[in-house]
Amino acid sequence: MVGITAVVVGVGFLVGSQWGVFPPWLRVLILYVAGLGLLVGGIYLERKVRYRFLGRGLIGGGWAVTALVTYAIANLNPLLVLPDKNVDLFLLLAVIGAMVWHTLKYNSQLVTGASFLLGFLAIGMNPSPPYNLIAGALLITGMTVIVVRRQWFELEIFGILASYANHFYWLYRVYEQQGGRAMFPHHGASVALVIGYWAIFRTSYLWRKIAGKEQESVSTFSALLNPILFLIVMKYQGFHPEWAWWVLLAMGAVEFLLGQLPVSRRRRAPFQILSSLGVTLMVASPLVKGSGNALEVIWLAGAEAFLLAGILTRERLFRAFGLIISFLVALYAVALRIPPLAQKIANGQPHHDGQIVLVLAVIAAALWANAHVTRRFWLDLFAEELETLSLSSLSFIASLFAVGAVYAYVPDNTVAVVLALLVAWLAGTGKLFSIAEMIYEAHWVAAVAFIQVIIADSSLATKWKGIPSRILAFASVAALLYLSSRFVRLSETRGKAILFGAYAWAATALLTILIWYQAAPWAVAVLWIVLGLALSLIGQTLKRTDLKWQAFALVLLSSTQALILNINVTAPLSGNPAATLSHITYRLLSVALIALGIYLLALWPPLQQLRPVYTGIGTLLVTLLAYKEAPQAWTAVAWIVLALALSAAALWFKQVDLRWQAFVLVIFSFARTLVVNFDLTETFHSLSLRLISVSLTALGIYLLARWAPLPQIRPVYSVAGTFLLAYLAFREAPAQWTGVFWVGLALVLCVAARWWKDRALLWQTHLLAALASGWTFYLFYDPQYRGTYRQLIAVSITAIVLYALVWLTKIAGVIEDERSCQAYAWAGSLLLSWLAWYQLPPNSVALAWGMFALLLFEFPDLVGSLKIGVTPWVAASWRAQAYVALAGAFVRVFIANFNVVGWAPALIVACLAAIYFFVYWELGRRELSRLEKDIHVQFLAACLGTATLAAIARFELPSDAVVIGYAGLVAGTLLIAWLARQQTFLFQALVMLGVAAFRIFMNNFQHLHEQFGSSLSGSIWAIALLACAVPLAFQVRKNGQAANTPRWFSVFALHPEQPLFFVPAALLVVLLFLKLSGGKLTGAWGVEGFVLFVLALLAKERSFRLTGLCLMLLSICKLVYDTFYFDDPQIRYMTWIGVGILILVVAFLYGRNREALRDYL
Amino acid sequence: MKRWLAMILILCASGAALYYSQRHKTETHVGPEAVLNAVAETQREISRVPARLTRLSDDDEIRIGDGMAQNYLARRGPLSAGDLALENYIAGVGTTVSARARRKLDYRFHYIPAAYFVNAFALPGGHVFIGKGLLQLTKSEDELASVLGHEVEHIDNYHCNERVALQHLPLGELIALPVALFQAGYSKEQELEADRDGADLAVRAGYSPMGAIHLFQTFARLDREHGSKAESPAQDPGQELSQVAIEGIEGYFRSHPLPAEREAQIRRIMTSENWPQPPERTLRIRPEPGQSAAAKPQV
Repeated sequence: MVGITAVVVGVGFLVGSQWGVFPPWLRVLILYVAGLGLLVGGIYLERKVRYRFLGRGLIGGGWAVTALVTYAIANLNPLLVLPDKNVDLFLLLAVIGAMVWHTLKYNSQLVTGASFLLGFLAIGMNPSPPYNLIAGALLITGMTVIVVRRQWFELEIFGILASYANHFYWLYRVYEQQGGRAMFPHHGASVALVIGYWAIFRTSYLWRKIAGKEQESVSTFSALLNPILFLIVMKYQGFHPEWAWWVLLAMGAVEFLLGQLPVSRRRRAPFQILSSLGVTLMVASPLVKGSGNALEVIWLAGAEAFLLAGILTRERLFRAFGLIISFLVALYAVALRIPPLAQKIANGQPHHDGQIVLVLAVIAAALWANAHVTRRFWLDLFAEELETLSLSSLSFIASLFAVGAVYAYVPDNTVAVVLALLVAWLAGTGKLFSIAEMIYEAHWVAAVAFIQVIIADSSLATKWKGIPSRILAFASVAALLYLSSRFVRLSETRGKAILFGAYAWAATALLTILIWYQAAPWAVAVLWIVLGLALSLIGQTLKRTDLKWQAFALVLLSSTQALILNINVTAPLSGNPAATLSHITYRLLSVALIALGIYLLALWPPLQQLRPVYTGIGTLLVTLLAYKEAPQAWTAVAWIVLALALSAAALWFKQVDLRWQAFVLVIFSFARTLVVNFDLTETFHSLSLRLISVSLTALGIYLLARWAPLPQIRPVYSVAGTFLLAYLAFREAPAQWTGVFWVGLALVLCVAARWWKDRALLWQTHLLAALASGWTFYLFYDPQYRGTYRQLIAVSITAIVLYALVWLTKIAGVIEDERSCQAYAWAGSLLLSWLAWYQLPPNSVALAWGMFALLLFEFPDLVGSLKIGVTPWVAASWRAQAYVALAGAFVRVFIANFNVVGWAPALIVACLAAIYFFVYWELGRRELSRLEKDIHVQFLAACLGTATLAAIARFELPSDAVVIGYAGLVAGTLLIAWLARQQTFLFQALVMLGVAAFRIFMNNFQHLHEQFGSSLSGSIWAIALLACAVPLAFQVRKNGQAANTPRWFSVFALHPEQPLFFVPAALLVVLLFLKLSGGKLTGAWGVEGFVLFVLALLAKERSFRLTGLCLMLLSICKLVYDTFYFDDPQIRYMTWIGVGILILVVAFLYGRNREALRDYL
Repeated sequence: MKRWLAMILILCASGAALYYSQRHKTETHVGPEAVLNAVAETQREISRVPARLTRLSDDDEIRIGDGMAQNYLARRGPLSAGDLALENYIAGVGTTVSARARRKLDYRFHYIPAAYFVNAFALPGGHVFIGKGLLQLTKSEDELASVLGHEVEHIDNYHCNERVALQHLPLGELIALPVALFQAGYSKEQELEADRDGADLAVRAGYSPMGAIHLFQTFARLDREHGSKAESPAQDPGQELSQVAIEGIEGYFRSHPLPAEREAQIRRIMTSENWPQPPERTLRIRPEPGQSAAAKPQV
């Protein structure tokens, strides 16, 4: 296929070119002979099984070449022998007809369809009417005959698409040529032809014989596609829009009539499809004309007629039409009636309109009747899910129209009440007749009523017989909602368990809002509590939990109101200062009443678990009351007293939640002490008031620790006391000794913790030690302490104490995880590392860290040799500190040591590399932790060592010689990998190989032109060193693959010699290319190839041998290229045809010797 | 036992290295210079091949450079008789220097008589411009030759060409590129390359490499005078970290290497290549006295 495609493409180029000295007719003859030759050859070969595919390819190519030449004889200059394009069109059709005839023997729709596609393309390329139209009609007729005879209905779909698309394209070109859409000379013929298309395809649809359901489905698709495309094309070529609805009507009638013909009724599908299509078109026609008043009512009548007809004749199709038209009516009314009404209501414009009320009410009534009355009477006719769903949907739409009618008829201030009545009617009727849809419709109407009463009736200021209208409206709607709630609760609808409560919630919400509007501000919260009490009592009586929940919500609301408003109402009850009531404020009265009500409501909570919420809110209100009344300095003490009282009450009533409230009060008083009491400066009997109040608070906290709600939180109390004391010390002690004091206190606490086995004290030790560390770090961060003995001594003492705490804090049975003690070791090491930065010059710090890391690394073994037990985890922790120090040293050398060239920095870095490698070797003989294994710490240590050496090479060697250092590292790491059998170094060797190759290629090769540089010599030395490493790679290969080698690396581990060979070989090829040219380059490549080949023979490596051979071949190709390369414009088609023929020859030979070739390959 | 011995050996060697370092008081500056140079060099290495692949042809480069130079010279206006003589003198030195460039282009040298213009730059195709401000800083013809050699090498090494090619614009629009694009300098590695090759051109033309050295010393002095603050050692680790970070950012965006670094490079090549050091020649024509340069040089 590839070969014949190449030949055809080549012929395509050929027919457009001037070739040879032949006259056009001779060229045509040659090409026809070639095309026919391919065809005949293909037919001959196709008969032989061995060459069947080749034969079919040749047949396709032969037909393609023949068609191409037939097209070219009238259109392309080099082959122009036929001046009349119309004659050529029919010639082309004749060729295609022959092709179609030939393809029929394969009985393949695809192949024959491709032939027809070629035919349509040919017609598309010839726009001259009427020949193209005649040709199109002939083509379609022929195709339809084949479709019907062969039952190739899929092909017909393609034919319908192609014929209409072709005609559309022709019209497009006509309009384009005449500058726009306008009448054209062959308009009548065009219309007739399109009608002819429709008629041919419609006849085919009616006439056919169907073998199965699948063929019927395909035919149905054709039956629908035909008129759709017909209408599109007719619209495109039509110039009288006013006739459109007549056309639709007529076409609908014709389709409907065709559906009733006996030939249609032979099969059920044509009858259904054409009847439906006809009715649809007829109904759509008035829409096109569309206008007139209350059109939807007329349609509704039609819908009802269809529905009734469907019921009476028991014809489902008509019922379906009825429902469809009902939906259309609904959509029409929703689109045209509802938005203007809503717009007027929203804008406050007059919107009461009897006609609209009538229309909406009639539609609502009709739809409800269809949905619930008709269906109940003829239940068996509406048993299918789609019909049921449609009627339910129409019922919902009916409720929308009913609400619209209410809005259009009822005065605004009573809309909510009427809607609430509608809700009650819907819910009641729905419950009575078990109509779920009506209940569901009640839900949304209730929502509308609820919103309406809030929006429209909240601002009502009128009165009715002395009673405010607002109270009447809110109360009526609330009452109706409570009633509807009952209906919903008793109904059998989904979600009723939640929704009936929603009604009650809505009603309660309305009453709550009513109180908000009607009562005095300070009394609102009190009345809410009263309402809550009433609801709670009713709920308790009727066993309605939802009412208790509403009471709970009212508690939350009233407490919020109390916190926002009542707590700030400082006015006395009486304005007369002499009266007793003048000492009582509204705040005291109302908050006390609210708190009392809340405590009472705590008797009937919706859930027992909520009881603490009630008491908590009550306590909160009392606490705030105390805060507002007590003197500022004694607030914390007052709260502690209140907490003590609550603790006593908790003991009496056995209520744990009261203990928790006492605990919260402890926290408050603690915070209050911190914020207020530490700033007190007054004295009391020569004692600081701060000391007294803080001490009293601490004492109270320690006392309350006895009645802690849980034993687990008792330590919180001691922590609070200790914190207050520590902070007191901070405020009194000199700054320089604060850290020491805290560390000392931590030591004391630690000893106490060991004595009493107290975990809380141990934790306080941890905190104080952390604080002391942080303080030391912070204080001595100041540069004034840099290099001073004070810094040295203070930091050293702190670090030593921290190291001591590593062992002291390890209290068996108290400390949860002994590993946490290692935090002290980390802190101590951090402080000492940090001290090194301050005490040493910059370029020595990295090595100091490295040495410190080495000591940390070996420390566990050192301790172990002293018979002190060290767990593996602790040992790993010490090593981890060493790793961090090593990593820090590695980073530091890059910013501190490599900025200077010289021996001293290089010496320091080399020592550091030695430390890395030492750590690497040591890790190899230790039992590592899981984390160490996971992060491959041993591997990383080796990498750091090698990277350090590579960095020395990079920064300390001259730029051109860096690659020599890299190459040396490659050889060195390979040597170690071989001798020590460590695959880690093989990996590093390969990485360094990549780095070296990159550097050579991107740096040294780019500076080869510099005469005073040493890029060339550096490159040669580096490539030579890399080449010398190849034997080492062979030795490494003998070591085999390590057990834990990653999969991606295993290829290199098994064959390290491959990259080590190919990289220098390729680099040498490029180097030769860059430095040599012409014959020298060819020769050099040849020599390199030869040398590689000879060496490969010694190494017995096939890939090396192939590389040598390829290099030699490359040099030969270059030779050929240099010698014979030329450029010819005709090379294009010659190449295509030549290559194509070559491929065909190969295909032929392959077919002939297939078995032998398979064996050989 | 072996490992304890090895550890002690390493610790002793490290202690000795520390002691050696303390005794020799090797001064170092804590900063990211080394890393930044390595990163910049790697960046340049990575972009080298794409830049080479997208180079313009010589004809296109000359056409674009001529167009840009023509636009720029039109804005400069005609020169006075004195400035014209000075431009001819510069062109003479430049022609001598550029005679040994690898690319045989028609190098042309222009003078910008503005004292504030302490700069020299090259345009694609062979145009080199030098400002009066920079000329006032030069004390010898050798220094002038090193400046011109440096700019010629920006053209010779295709730096200008690649900068134009990387704009990815049609040929006609490239002529309208702003000249400022070429005044802003190149990467550190390219600048050092132009220094090396430019000094080589000047030396092979018979000039002393000390011209370049003296010029870099002048730049270093001006650099200090123009607010390049003395780099004091950090007083605490936080300050050191922030210093490293700030210098890292500054250093990354600084196109020209530090004058001291440039001087060190020339001195290193002088030694390795054994360059002759003939006496420096005085400038035969000096620019007219005017307001002295007040800006940092950009060469």
